[in-house]
Formats: sequence, structure tokens, C-alpha cells
Amino acid sequence: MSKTYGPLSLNEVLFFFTRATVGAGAPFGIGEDTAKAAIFLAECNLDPGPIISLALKNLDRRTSQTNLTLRSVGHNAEIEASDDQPVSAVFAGPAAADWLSSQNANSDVQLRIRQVDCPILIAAICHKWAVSVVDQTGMSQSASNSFTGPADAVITSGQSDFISRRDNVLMNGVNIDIDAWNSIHGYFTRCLVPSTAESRIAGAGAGLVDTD
Amino acid sequence: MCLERMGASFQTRLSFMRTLVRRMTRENWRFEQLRFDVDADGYGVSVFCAHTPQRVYSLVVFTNELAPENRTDRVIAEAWDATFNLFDGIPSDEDIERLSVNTPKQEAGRFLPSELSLARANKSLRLFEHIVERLANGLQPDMDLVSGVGYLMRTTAVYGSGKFGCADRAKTADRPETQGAFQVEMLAVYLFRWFTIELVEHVARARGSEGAVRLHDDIKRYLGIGNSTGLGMAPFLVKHPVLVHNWVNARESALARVRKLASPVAGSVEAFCQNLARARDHISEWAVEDRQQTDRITQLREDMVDLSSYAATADFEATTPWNTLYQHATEAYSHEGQELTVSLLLEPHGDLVDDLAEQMFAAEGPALEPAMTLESLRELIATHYDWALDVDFDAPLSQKNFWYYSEDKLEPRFGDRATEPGAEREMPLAIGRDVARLAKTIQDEDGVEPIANFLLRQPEFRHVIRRIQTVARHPYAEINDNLIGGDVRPLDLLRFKLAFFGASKFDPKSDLWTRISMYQGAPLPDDLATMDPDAWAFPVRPEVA
Repeated sequence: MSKTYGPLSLNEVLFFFTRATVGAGAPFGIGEDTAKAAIFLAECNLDPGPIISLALKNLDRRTSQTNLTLRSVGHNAEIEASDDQPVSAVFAGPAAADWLSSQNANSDVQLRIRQVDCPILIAAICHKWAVSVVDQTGMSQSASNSFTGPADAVITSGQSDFISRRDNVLMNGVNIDIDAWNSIHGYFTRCLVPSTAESRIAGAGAGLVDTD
Repeated sequence: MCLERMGASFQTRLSFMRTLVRRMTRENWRFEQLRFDVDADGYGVSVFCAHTPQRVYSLVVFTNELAPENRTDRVIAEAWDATFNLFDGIPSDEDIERLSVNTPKQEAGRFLPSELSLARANKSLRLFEHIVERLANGLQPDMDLVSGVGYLMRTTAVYGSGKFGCADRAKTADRPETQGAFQVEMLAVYLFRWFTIELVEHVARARGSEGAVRLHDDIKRYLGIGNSTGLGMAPFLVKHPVLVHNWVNARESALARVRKLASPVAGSVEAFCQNLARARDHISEWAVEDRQQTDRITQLREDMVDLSSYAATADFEATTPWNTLYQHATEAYSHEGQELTVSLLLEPHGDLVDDLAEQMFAAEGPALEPAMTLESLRELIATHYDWALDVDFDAPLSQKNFWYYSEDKLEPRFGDRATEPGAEREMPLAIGRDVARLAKTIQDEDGVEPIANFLLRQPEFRHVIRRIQTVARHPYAEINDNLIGGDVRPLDLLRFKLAFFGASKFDPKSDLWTRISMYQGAPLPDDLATMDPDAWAFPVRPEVA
């Protein structure tokens, strides 16, 4: 069993994962959605660390594409990269959720994300819908256990097969694989500003030794 | 909701400490000292419990010696006189052993969901030592000194909601006693106040032996808990727009109910006048070194003199007399005077307004509506962010500052964009600037395009669009000021939040931080059965022979 860091609270997951995503190069709003997906994974008793750290690594190393296009295909749609790189799940997940939320709730639509780097993250962000992964042979499986890509993620109306155990997480916290945590924390620290002698002196309460 | 008014806020009967004390009384909470293992100098481990009808909450406190030169209120401090947790239930010996290793380290420690909050405090050396010495010698303390400080210890951070591994708020959000905002943190501070009084008496007894006396009950009650608050509260207010809306909405709803009263409720005029007299005494004892706040207090005193004259001659038989009084205040008084008048108006009307305290939490957060068109978004911006569109963000002064987390223990800081490094890592608190940028970006876009499509091209606006849509649903959610401008006083944000907590005696130490008093005048555990839980709205120095 690998070493873990924690337990973290869900609020810590929100705080660190949001900013880690920003540190890896995404806008803050995307970071918020990534962190919410991390919380969702944790509530389902899945370690969000390795999943998010993989997606952030792809983002940081620019081995996944964030410049995406959405193409309508009848009532359905497809999201794909603007080049041959895999699609970044960090960016495609919120875009997919937006498109699906915009559709008539009763309509039977399908959204395919072509060659996404981390299908399970798509499944976590789009957990209000059913997400499956189609490999190169055309075989389909649930995205909730499809950790690595690239593969096509197909999102349809229906039930996600994630099972939430939120109460358990609230009682016990979230343990994160130590290597993944170190990676995420590394991205997080990019959002911090190094302290200087001047900023330290100018901080709230500075200059005061409280012996009143 | 603008900074100038936020910076003049006062506690009201809806404030969180007030709500908690009322609940303690109403539900007959029982309090118990489970453990008080401290030596003659007051150093050791203590466990003080609150028994609610359904549950027990325990304050676990560690006290130790602290060299005076290490006593600082800043987040970057590394040692304190006292460190403590609010524990969910009664801690086992193993729990206390674990906490004894972690709690004194504060941010460097790790905690479990059994811990609901984490905090630390430093002594007021002057007052603590003075009271020990006087009690040890059979004397009561000098009331000038007691009044000048007002507390034995002051907290410098009270963490909750999942910080450092502590329980998420969601763990306790469904419990009646902790559903309201910050009730966990307020309970921790209430128990800690009780602890500080027991501690000072204990040290005095150890020093004075049989000659020592106990602290007079009125002085005990007059002692609150101090607090030093810095910039950490500012990001919280921006990050929780729905919660802030619910706080302000409750207060505004309460005020509207009172203003609508066609005639005064029996006894309310007398109660108003009594509270006004007490509030005047209270602010006459409010002395600070900060020149700007001193000027404001001086003006406030004049406002309250006028309010007394007004109330003495007002026609309370006329229709909606409270509304007339309120209108007089808004026309004639300073912001501080207006805000204190609101507090005074709510005070006699508990039966009318106290139920609103049950709405002062948020079960939901900001949410995006991706199907909305850009034209609708433009309309929301025009309606709710006209103040932001009026700011010239190309002017250097309008973006003079930036908010950031420092590598130093993640201390929130407020820096000068031109002279300090790190502006590219600023926190996303420049809402006005970001809205203005968005407005400019979408002004020539096709209005029928859904936001979902726009965000695919420009995801950098995701955060601010979500906020605009949320604010449109929650009109009190936004601070209608440019938070990075050259004239911003972060202090205004702090006072707003602290007033909702129920703090008093705001004592600004700069534009960045303030000291306050909490629970000054509030009933102690032994008083709860006999004392009016709302009698401490405006604490006044007791007359002790």
C-alpha cells in the first residue's frame, strides 16, 4: 500500500486543488470546477490525488490541448482539440458540463469528447450524467474506473455509476497518495508569493510585540 | 453594500454570539470542567465541556510559558500562551495526547474531523498579571485597567471549517446548535473566556494561598475575550457571496419588520430608551489610539445625544414611528450613528426578528447558468455592477494594490502592485476590474450566443461570470467597491464581519488589522439560568466597590 498524506478535509481539497489547477496554468474558474470534481471523487471513496495530478501534469507540460472546439452533430455534439494532442480533461470537463446543462433536460443528447487525457476526471465533473469510455477497438466501459487516456469519453443522459459515501468522508477525511500530493502541492505553491523583508514588515500586525 | 458603510457596522441581536447565548439559555446547556491540570503558573492541560440537549462539545486547552519577545498577534507567530481545540464530544486520553503534540504547533499541526476548531491566544500581560497580583493579595483589580484592556487573553486566529484537517462545516451543518454561521467558533471562544477566568483565579490562589480572593462576579462578566484580526477575513467575504447575502438579508429584513410596525410593541419604547442610554455609556468607554476611529467615535457620541433628544420628544403614537426615527437617523447621522441606530432599533424586537437568525447560513454556493445568453449577461452587469463600470481601471490608482497569499504560513497580504513582487499571483478578489474586463470583451459579441459557447473560447471569465449570475440572485452578496483601489481600507471588511460575529470595542491598529472584544458583558455559564441572555448588548463597566 502506498504512503498517503492526510487526512485532509474537503475544504482543504477545495482550497489546495483549486489553486494547484491555477498553478498548472488554468484560470481560477476552471480550478474551482476541478477542485469540486476532486471533492466528488473523494466522496466516492476514490483518491482524487493521482487523477488530478495526472491531469495537471498534462496541462503544465502542455501535452494536452486546452484550445478546444465544440461541433454540433445534429442534436449531439463533439468536443475536440484544435490539433492532434489529447484533449485536456481539466478544460473539457467544464465545457462538457456547460453544454449538457444548456440542453433541454428531457432531451436524449450525447456529447463525445475525442481523445481526452483523463476520462475519469470528465466523469467526475459531469457526474450528473452517464459517462462511458470508448477505446480504439470500439469497446465501451464506464468512465468511473477509466483512469488513463487518451480515449473518447461519451456522455449521455442517465445515471452516473459513482456511489457517494460523503458521510464517511466527513467523519474520516481524505487521504491522498503522497506522490500525488507532493505534485499537487507543488503546483499549489506557484500561487504563493515569496515573502520579502519588506512584505513581512508591511503585513497586518507587523512591528508589534504584544505585551499590552 | 459599500466599504464605507461596512466599516461602520455594529453588532445586533442577530449577531452570532448573541444567537449562541440565547440558545444556551433556551436549551439549558450545562457546563462542566472535566479537567484542569495546570500548575501554579497556570501551565498545563484543561478540558471544559458544554452539554447541549443532544451532544457534548469540549474545549481542550494547552497553556505554556511564552517569552514576552515571542508574543505577537501575527499569523506568522510560532508560539502562543494558549492553544486550543473545540472537540466534538469528550476527548479520550489518546485524543488529548495526540492534540498535545499538534495543537501547540497550530498551522504546523494536523488534525482530525473530531476537532471542530483550532485556535490560539495570548495574554494581556498587563491585565493578567495585575489581576493575579491583586487577587493573591485579597484585593479586586483596578477597574481603570480592567476597563482599558477588557480581556485576559486575546485570540489571534480561530480556525474552523476544515482547516488543517479539522472537521468540515458539513459535518455539523445539520445540527441545530451549529447550523448557524460560525456557531462552532463562537462556542470555542465562549468556553475559552470561561477558561481564562478560571485560570487567573487559579494562579492567584496558588500565589496568594489562603489570603487570595475570587474575582468579583461583575468583573468576571465584564471581561471578554480579545481578538486580533488581520487580512484573512477579507478573502472570506469575497469567496462566500451567498453567505454574506444571507447575513445582510436577515439584518435588512429585521430592520424592515421594525420599520413597518404601525405602532410600537408594548414596552418597546422604554426598552429602546434604556438601551440607548446604555449604548451611550458603552461608547463613552470606547477609547482607541487610532485618530480616524477616535473622530468617528466622537461624532457617534454626538449622534447618540441627538437620538436621545429625538426619542424624548418623538411622537410614538404617530403611525410607523420607528420608520420615522430611522429616517431621521439616515438623514442626520454619520454612518456609525446610522448603524448603531439600526442595532438599537432591533434590540427591543426579539419576538419580531429573532427567527431571522435561523437563515444566516448558506447551504449553496455560486452556480453557473451556462444557457444564459450574452445579452442577458450584459443586462446583469449593467444592473448589478454599474459601480464597477464607472471605475477607470486604466488609471494606476484604481489597481494600486493586490491581495495575495504569502509563502510565510499562507499569511494573506495586501501589496502594492508597483513596488512589490507577485502581482501575477494575486487572489481573484478584484471583482470590479474583472467584471469591467468582461463587459468590454462581450460588448460586441453576438447577444444570442449562450455563455457555454463563449466560455469555451474564453475560459478565463468562468469565475467572474459565475459570480455575476450568483450576485443577481443574491443582491446583498457583492461588495460594491473596487477592492484593489488605492483608497481601500481592508479594515472596513474586517469590521463588517466582526460585527456580524457580535464583536464590540473595535480598536484599529492600522488599515490592515484591528483588535476587538468578544462576549464582554455576556453571561458566564453560572449566569445563564438567571440572567437575561440579551442584557449584554452594550456592555458597561461595572461599579465595584
